[in-house]
Formats: sequence, structure tokens, C-alpha cells
Amino acid sequence: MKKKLFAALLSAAMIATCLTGCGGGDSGSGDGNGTGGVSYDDGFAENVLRITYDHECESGDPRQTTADYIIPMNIFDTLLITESTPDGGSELNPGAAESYEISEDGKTYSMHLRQGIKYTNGEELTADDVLYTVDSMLDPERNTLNSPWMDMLVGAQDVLDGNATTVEGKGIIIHDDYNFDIVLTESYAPFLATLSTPAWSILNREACDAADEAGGGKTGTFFGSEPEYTIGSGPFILKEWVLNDHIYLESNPDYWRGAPKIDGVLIKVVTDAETERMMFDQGQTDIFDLDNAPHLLPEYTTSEQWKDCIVPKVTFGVSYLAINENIEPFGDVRVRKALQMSVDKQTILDTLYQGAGVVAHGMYPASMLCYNKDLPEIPYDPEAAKALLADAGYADGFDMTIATNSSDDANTKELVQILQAQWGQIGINVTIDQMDEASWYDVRATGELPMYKATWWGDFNDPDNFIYTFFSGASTKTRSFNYYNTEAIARIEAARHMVDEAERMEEYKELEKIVIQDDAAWIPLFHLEKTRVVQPRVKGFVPHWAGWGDCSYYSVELVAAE
Amino acid sequence: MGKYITKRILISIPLMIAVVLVVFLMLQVLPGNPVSVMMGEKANPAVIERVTEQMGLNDPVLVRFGRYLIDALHGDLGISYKLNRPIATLIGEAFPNTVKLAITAALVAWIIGIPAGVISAIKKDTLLDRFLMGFSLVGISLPVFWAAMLMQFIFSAQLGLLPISGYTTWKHMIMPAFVLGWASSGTIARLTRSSLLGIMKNDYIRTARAKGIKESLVVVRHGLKNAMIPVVTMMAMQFASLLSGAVMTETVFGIGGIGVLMVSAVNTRDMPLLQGSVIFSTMIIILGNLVADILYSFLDPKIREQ
Repeated sequence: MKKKLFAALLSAAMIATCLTGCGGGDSGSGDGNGTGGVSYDDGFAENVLRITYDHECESGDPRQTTADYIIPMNIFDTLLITESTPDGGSELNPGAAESYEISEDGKTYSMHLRQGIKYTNGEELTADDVLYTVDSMLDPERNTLNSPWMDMLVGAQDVLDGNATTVEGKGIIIHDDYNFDIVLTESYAPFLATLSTPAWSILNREACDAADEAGGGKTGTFFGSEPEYTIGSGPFILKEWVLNDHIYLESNPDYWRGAPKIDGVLIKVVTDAETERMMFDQGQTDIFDLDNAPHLLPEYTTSEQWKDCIVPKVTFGVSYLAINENIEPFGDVRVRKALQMSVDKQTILDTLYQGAGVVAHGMYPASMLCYNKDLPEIPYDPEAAKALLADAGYADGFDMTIATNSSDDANTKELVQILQAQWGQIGINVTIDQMDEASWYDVRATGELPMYKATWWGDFNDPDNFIYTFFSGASTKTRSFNYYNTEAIARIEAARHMVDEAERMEEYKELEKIVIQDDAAWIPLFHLEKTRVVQPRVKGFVPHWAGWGDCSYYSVELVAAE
Repeated sequence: MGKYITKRILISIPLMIAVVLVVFLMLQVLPGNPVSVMMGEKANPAVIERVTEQMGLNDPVLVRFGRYLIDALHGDLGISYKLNRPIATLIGEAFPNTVKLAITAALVAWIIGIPAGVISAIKKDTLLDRFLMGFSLVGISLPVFWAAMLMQFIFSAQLGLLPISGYTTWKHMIMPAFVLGWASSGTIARLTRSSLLGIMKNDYIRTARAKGIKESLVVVRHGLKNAMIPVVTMMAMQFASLLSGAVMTETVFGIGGIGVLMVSAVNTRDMPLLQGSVIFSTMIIILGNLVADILYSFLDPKIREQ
């Protein structure tokens, strides 16, 4: 009896092993060509682009999120569109506005809307929708997060303060359905570029009012969460949203630039990176963002099967180490320069990010309008750093703290440990202080956070989006830099109002050198590369011009295998 | 009997209120402003100040608790900071998935666990007994996420028999149910075995055998019926625990249930969502224990008599 049982168990084990072995050869990879290699298990049509999202999307309402823009970028229109150029840069093109003029004083933007753009509820996109978009973004009864994109309009502050309900006739002057002026309180040179950001998605008044009513008010609005009420005029329509499972964007056949070539975009919520990898390998998804699993980068980039399917994009952003000049001895520029020179950035980039990116010596990425290719390199020279420290009176080094926050990714946590080791070699004793995310942000806002590592992703192609964000008078404290070069700060604040574009760009180049290299107010680390691997059937995929994870999928086409 | 059930229900009510209070206070004492986290790198002091005020986060803790309790009694658990939807709706959409997972996993656990326990007890100290107990032990010991990934690798990536992730068709339910059910079946099998072995030594079993009743009837009618009292209690508690969310299983298999909701709330520091989902899960466990107590009273005549 025992022998029979043992034999039965052994046979079962052998059958299982054989089955496993048989499948290993081909089914694991899945050719993903849409012609017979893959049988999709999600119930959607073959001509649907399948992507993943590693968390539940925050909201489809651009007023309610500063992070997840995948829905707004695909279902709404903006007045202008920023698009990638073949040389890796970007250009500003007409969107819902087919043309515009700017007044000589740089305060008035006369916009001319394209006629015939229809929302999916049948309404036409008009100047009144632009007015509604601004008014509702500034409405103090809504918990809107993106009001800073519009608070420079005349009358905006009154609406934010509850003293007015509209900027009509002040910040927005409507001439007719298709022509209107946007009036700013003072000239703001980058304003035009901001009109292409998702925060400036043009919402339909009637659709939003209906969504508010259905949700029981402005704070409970169904807009951005319930597909039926989230009406846009963009290339896709929010069709289905099954929480923590998937979002389906169906192609809009009436889109003014022509219907997309795919039937839709299926966004699957997959929180586990290994699961995501298996799904991609099986052909169940079309695009795999390797930021979610950076350790797999070498595997895909060297794989015979995938190496030609890699889509890299240097991000329009910068990773940096913030220096708090209020904390001794960082008030001394020699100490700050010594820190800059003693970080082996290339080794960190190669070790942690598999070399996917470029070392930064300044603030602006290469595709920035005023990128300075002649900016001197900050050399890696620990000996020179030691000499600078000795000169500053710290020949024996000093103690310092780096603050990390609980939401930092694994690479950031490792990066600060590498810094601890690298600075240890020149006598600096680094303590790593791990803080809760909310406390980290709160302490930073008081200007008392010690050194920290962060990454900034640009929103629009203008140096103001970088240098003003960090080194304007208010920001330098709330970001815990406490930069004290008041002359440079005054120039940064003045530059955004300069009307002559060439002069303005030259000014930004000079300011970058002063802030980052002469004053060593920051330690620039690198401009990282975002790498995706796509199935062979995916054609025409263009990453977001700034390298964001969220992008428009309008240009994508799915083809049969060759 | 009725008195016993009433007593158990009455004990549960203050427990529930205490849970709401403790969870609320615990999350309030955490440092930092959630609005800062909502804005992240795009933080703007003026917006943070405005939204903090609008959300009532500047009010005293007691005022906020009172407001929360009153709203909760009306079924309003607030609005998620991050997802911008009513928390009751979010829980309402996630719970059916958790229920499906709990039911299928419990079925697997019971179908494997009870027969395995009975066979092991009958075939005590045989190779079969050792195999079944070993199988149970592996189920209990194996980390759920590892078993899940192993199954995904074999049945999805290699054999292509089952879908890797998602929760829409019956095929999607097989692996999660087995992974979670296997872990629970081990406990049931071992408890059934030990309980049955204890029962089978009783005098009334010897009497039944002496009467010439068939051995299978002795085991099922006289042995198993009594041996199942602690097992059923365990099964009810396990089921309540499954209903409160299986974080690892839901995460690996991409099931949008209560567990995933809680994890996403923790990751994004979405306090109202975390508060609502933790309170909901705790309520489920309290109710599960209440049901187990009531069930126990039905099964155990000693309690019925008390």
C-alpha cells in the first residue's frame, strides 16, 4: 500500500515537472504581435493598447491632482500643445487655440480658438469653457491643487479670496465664442508654455455642472471619477474605471485632429513589479516602464529579443542634493564646493541606474531652451575637496545629516548610503535621518530640513520652471535651501518679466552659473533617462517630451507582425 | 441561549465604538500635514494653507472626531484625499472582490483541510498521515507572496494556463483562491486531526463501536460531529480574517480588494481612506468573532444549557 502511494506521488511530481518544462520554451515570452501569439485574457479587443499603472490613478480631474495626469492628457484639450522634436527637444504647437498674439507689454494674450471642437456630450468648446476652467480652478469652495497655474490672471486673487466668483472681464475678456484675451497682472514670459500643461485642460461648463450636481456638490463632484460625467474633447473618452483593476479610454472618433488609430487604451493597475514583468513577457501588456523595475534594465537592454524594442528618453528634469545654508558649516561656499567635488556621480549613475542618464553639472537638462553646453564641468576630485575643507577650517571633517523620507524609492535610499561612504573618505561623517513623508515635507517648509536628495520634473520648457521654482525669494526658504545671494534672487525674480526672449535666455544661462557653480547652492547629480520596452506590434509611440511617465497615446498604432 | 447571544452582541457595540476612537486618534497623532503630501514636489505654501483650512484639518481633534462619528453613523466615511471619491463608495467597490476571494479561498481551505485532517486522524502515523500533515505544514509555513509568485511563474508564465493578474473571470480566481486557501487549510487540517484524535478516545466512541456500528459511521456521526466544534469556530474566524483583506494575495494578483485599498492608503498617506478601511476591516473581524461565538453556542450543548 505504501509503495503504491509513493509511486503515485512520484508520478504526479514527474508529470508536473514535464508540464513545466514543456511550457518553458516559448509561451513564456509571448510574441505580442497581435496575430496569434497572444490570446488576451482581459476581454478587450486586439487593437487596444495595454499599459500598466503601478498604483490607482488619483483623479481624472486636472483640478484635483498634481501627479497623475494620464487621464487629463488623453481626454482633454489644451490651448497649446508641447510636442517632442526629432532632436530630443520640444516645440510649442497650436492646440485648441489655432493662433494667438501677445501684447507689447507681455500682459495680454489674445487667443483664437479653433472652430468645431466638440466635447463628447455634443457641446462645442468655446471661450466660455476657458472662463469656466479658470473660475472653477480658483473657486475657494473646491479643494483645487493647481490654482498656482492661473493665479497670475487679473482678478484671480479676488476669486481665491472669495471676494469674487469670476475673472470675467478682468483676467479673461471674451469677445465672442472663439476669441478672448487672457490678461495677466504683470508680464510673465513663460506663460504661453504653461498653457500646454495638463492643469490648463479646458473643461466643459455644462458637463462639470452636471457632475457637481450628481455628486452632491463641488467637493463631491463626479467629474474626474465617474466616466459618465467626465466629459472631454480629447483623442480618447473615459469609458470605464474599475477601481484598483483597470481604466479604459476608448478612442474618440470625432476628435478634431482625426480619430486615433487604436481602439483604445487599457490601463491595468498592477502594483507588483514582478507581476508586471511576467505580463509583459507574456504579451499581455504592450509597454513596460522600467522605472517600476530598474533592476531589469540590463536584462532587457541586452536581450536579443528586446534590445531593439527599447524606447529611451532623457527626462526634462534633474536629480540634485539640496544644501541648507543655514546649517553650519554649509554657510561657507568652500565647504559647499568641496561637497560638490567629492561626489562620484558617474559611479552612482552606473551602479544604481545602470548608466541610464547623464551626469549634471548645472540645473538645466539638454533640451532646455537656454541649455548651456559650455557650462564648465564640476570635476570629481576628492583631493581638491579635502584642500578646500582644510582651507575652510575643516581639515578633520565634520558631522552632517541627510534626511530621507519614507516614500523615497530604493535607489534614493541606496544613493544616500553611497554618499555616506564617499564623503566618509574625506572625513565627513554622515548620519542618515529617515523621516515620515508628511513630517519631511512639513520640516522642509519651515526651512529647517538638512540636506536631502530630490528630483524635479519640468512642467514646461522654460528655465523659469526650474530656477524660479527653487531660488525665488519665497522658494529658497520653503525648500530649505536658504540661499542668501539676494542679488541673484532679485535677478531670478526679474527675469520672468523680461520681454526680449534672447536677452532673457542669456540671463538664465548666467544665473545658472552663479547659483550652481559660483555659489554652489546645490549639488546637481544627473538628468536621468526614462526607459521603456515596448512590444514589436507597437509603432509610433512617442514618449512625453519631458520624459514623464504619463503621456498622450494619440500617435500609437498597433500593427501585425512582419 | 437568547440571553447568551444578546450578551455577545451588547459586548460588541462598545468594542466597535472603541475601535473607531482608537483608530481615529492614532491617525490624528501622526505628525505632518497630509496636504503637503498630496502636493509633493509641487508644494505651494498658499495652496497648502487654503486646502488645509477647506478640509477642516485646522479644527481641534475632538471637533473632528465628533464630526467623523456623526457622519460615520450616517454612512459617510468622508472623501479620499487622493482618489477624490467617497470612502464608502471605494469600500463598496472593493469589498465584493474581497468577498469573492474570501469565499473561494475558504472553500479551498475547507475542501482540502477537513478531509486531510480526518484522513490523517484515521490513518494516524502512516505515510499518508505524514504526507498530509507535511503538505499542511508547507501551506502554513510558505510565505503567501512566494507561493503566489511561484504559481504565477508555473501556471501563467510557463504553462500559460491561467491569467497572471486581474480579477474578472473565474480563471482569474483560481490561483489566488488556492494560494490563500492552502495557507488556511493547514491550520484546519491540523486542528481537525488533533480534535478528532482526542474525540475518538472517548468512552461513547468505544460504546458505539461495541454496538457494532460501522467504523465510517462511528467516525462521521459520533466522532467528527463533536470534533468539528473547535474547527468550525476556527473556520468562522479565518473567514472573517479573509474578509478583512488579504494584503499580499491581493497585491501580487492585482485584485482590487480591501487589502489593496489599505496599502494604497498607507502609501499615499490618505488618512480618511486608511481610517475608513481599517475601521471597516476591524468591524468585519468583530462581527466574525460574534458569529463564531453564536455558532459555537449552537454546536456545543454545554453552552446552550448555560
